Amino acid sequence: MNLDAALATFLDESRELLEQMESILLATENGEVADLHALFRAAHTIKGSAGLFGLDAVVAFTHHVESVLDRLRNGEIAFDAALAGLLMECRDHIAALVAAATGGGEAGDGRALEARLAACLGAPPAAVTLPPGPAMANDESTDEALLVGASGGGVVGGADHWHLSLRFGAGVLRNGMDPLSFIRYLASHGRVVHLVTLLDALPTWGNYDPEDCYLGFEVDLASEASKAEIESVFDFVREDAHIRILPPHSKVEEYIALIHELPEEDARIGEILVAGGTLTRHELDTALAAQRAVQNQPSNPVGPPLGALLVDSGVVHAAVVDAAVEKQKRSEEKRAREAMNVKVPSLRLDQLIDLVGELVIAGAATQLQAEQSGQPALREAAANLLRLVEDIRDISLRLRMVPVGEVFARFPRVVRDVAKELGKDIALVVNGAETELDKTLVEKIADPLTHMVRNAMDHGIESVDARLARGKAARGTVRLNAYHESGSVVIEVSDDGGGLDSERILQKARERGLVTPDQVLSRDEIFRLILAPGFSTAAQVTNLSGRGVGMDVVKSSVEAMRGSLDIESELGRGTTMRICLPLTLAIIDGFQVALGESVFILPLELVVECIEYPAGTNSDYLNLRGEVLPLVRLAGLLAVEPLPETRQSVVVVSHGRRKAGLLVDRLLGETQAVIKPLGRLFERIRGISGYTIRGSGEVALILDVPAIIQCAATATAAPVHS
Amino acid sequence: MGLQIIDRQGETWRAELEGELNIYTVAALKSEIAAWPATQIEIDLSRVSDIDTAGLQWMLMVKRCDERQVNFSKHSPEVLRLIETAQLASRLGDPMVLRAGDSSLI
Repeated sequence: MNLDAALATFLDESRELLEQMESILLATENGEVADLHALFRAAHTIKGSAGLFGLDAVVAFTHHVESVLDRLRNGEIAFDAALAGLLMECRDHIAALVAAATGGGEAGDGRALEARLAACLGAPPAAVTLPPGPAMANDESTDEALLVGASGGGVVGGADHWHLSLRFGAGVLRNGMDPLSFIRYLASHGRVVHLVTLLDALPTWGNYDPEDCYLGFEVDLASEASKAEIESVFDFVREDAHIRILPPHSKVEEYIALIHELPEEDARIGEILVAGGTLTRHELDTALAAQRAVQNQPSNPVGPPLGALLVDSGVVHAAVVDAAVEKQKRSEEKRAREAMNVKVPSLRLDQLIDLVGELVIAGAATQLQAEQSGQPALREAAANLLRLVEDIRDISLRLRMVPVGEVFARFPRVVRDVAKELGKDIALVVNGAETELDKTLVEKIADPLTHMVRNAMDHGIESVDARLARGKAARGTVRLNAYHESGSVVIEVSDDGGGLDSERILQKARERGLVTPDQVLSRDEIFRLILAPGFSTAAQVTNLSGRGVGMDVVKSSVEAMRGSLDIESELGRGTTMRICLPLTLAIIDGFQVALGESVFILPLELVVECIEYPAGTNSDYLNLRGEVLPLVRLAGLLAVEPLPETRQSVVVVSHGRRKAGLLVDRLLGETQAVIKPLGRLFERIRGISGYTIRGSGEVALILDVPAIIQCAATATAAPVHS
Repeated sequence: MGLQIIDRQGETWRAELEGELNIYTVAALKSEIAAWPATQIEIDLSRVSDIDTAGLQWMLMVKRCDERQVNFSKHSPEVLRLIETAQLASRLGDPMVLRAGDSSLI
């Protein structure tokens, strides 16, 4: 119940709504029919919520936007590209205002935008007036205060629950409040013992305005909460509703006063109170009779003074209660969504994953001991345990998986803005946004991807003239594509632009001394040169790219995630950059191999098959059913003394589109491996991506298969002559 | 989305309501149903995804004030939940199927 928490919710909500506005506006720029209602709703909700928090700047500006949107959805003004552009700017300004109002930066002056909006409405800006605060319409009930029962003298009666009489102003629905959601929220403060929905105010069909609220509620609530807490439930509608709250064991007179005060017939309310157990029938009858007797005396024609007392003290009490804010005003829609999802701080998830990691190691140790003990029952129990641990591991890792679409969502805007800046016409096509990826990876991949997309737009896609001259469509396309492939997630950024010119790259690399003049490089290797630090083939340096910082940063951040970066390009047709990432960072299914006395672990997902190494061969190649693969002698690569006279095996691994055979001494089978990062001293060693602790307590190194494959491919594809 | 007529037999119509039944849609729903010439209408609510006070009020109004007979059927869980919150099941008088485990008041 504090303002900060509610404000954070407001920020979250506004961000969502602003994103929604953005995507709708972007869609219209691509020729889709705008969902003007959704657009209006988003602006309206932002305005309403901002009003609740007294963020006047946001309310004032959003009001102008809302007016235009209202006219738009009613078809009074036509929607065109210019207006979409203006609305986009307005959206940005609202975002800036929200950020500024909540202490994150400063917003610029919105008056120019306001003037342009006013021009759309065909009126000078001054003519647009602004209704104040949260009570937007229908102010007939704003002077009604929150009345709370007070304790004066009199007979104590009633039951041990609160009695609430709720009459909502006609405008509450239109102001985005939902009376029934307040009642539902009440349940968080106690138990609703009895509830009657009053339909007395329902009009005839002819007078029925569906957006007016006609309902009233009488609620009996059993609750330990304080009066202030119960009142705070209705903070948002206080000005727009007539709320009376009587505490448990109120005096009978107070109930009677309530009965008189309510617009419905006395007998009706009396029955409700009796039905809810608030009053006994006897109490009601005697009290009503007594009251009538008082009223009938000519000296006291105005009615019982008890009611007045109630009002006086009630008002005082209500004024004391600060506008403590709660989030119950969330719309039903949001509520339903929240019921399906739980927000968990990622720190807690990380703790869980850490513990699961420890559990995996402990489980492996247990199983090892059980195997050695030779007791069948213990072995069976350990096997069971291990299976459960595996399930827990899988499920907890899945908790961290989020769709890569979270990152992709920002690109429509990036592409639009960059295309405008470059003066090119570029469409973005997104595929596989639902592909799931570890959350930490999703966060880390965002920046490299942005850079690659900008690069593709700046360097890849040609200018409109050049495209037309080459017989291509004027509009260029940048594609984002994500999919799963053999235990990895692949994200592709491709364009249908000019492609990479290998001649020019090579020439430039020679100029810079990255390659010696007599070095012979494969096509693949030449393309990889653009990943080198300080390399740029752009003839011109723009403010987007061309300074040669970037692709090397992209490459190193991808490698930091144990991923790899591939480039495919065809001159004149386009370029595809392919990032291949492991599914998760924390725990893997490993395949153990032995080299000499040491045990190494390969990620099981990358292992394709194991074959016997034909004795006597001594080449760097392997003929796998007609397919030629590079053969890596791991013992040599890792400088391990091989065991003499063992029958060696070859493990065939694949990563992305590459395959290689790894020559090892022995195969030890599957295991679960919790990846521990190498210390600073060792992190630069190529071919090793981490270590793990085996069940026996020994340390085993985890091999960096992508790096080894890369190394093998380079060594075999293009022997370096010097 | 909205009201879809699925069957007309003389003056007896069957319709299905899909999507939102709330402050955003009630105005359109009011005018739509008012324009129908049927005297017997059954509205299937099984695909209502969201309902609020305004939607419930619409249901009450349609039942109460319209000169014809309107019945609601196959209430979706969202609708049932709200009717239960407002304690209006008997008032609306439509047969409703309660689900197991849904019996809590609010």
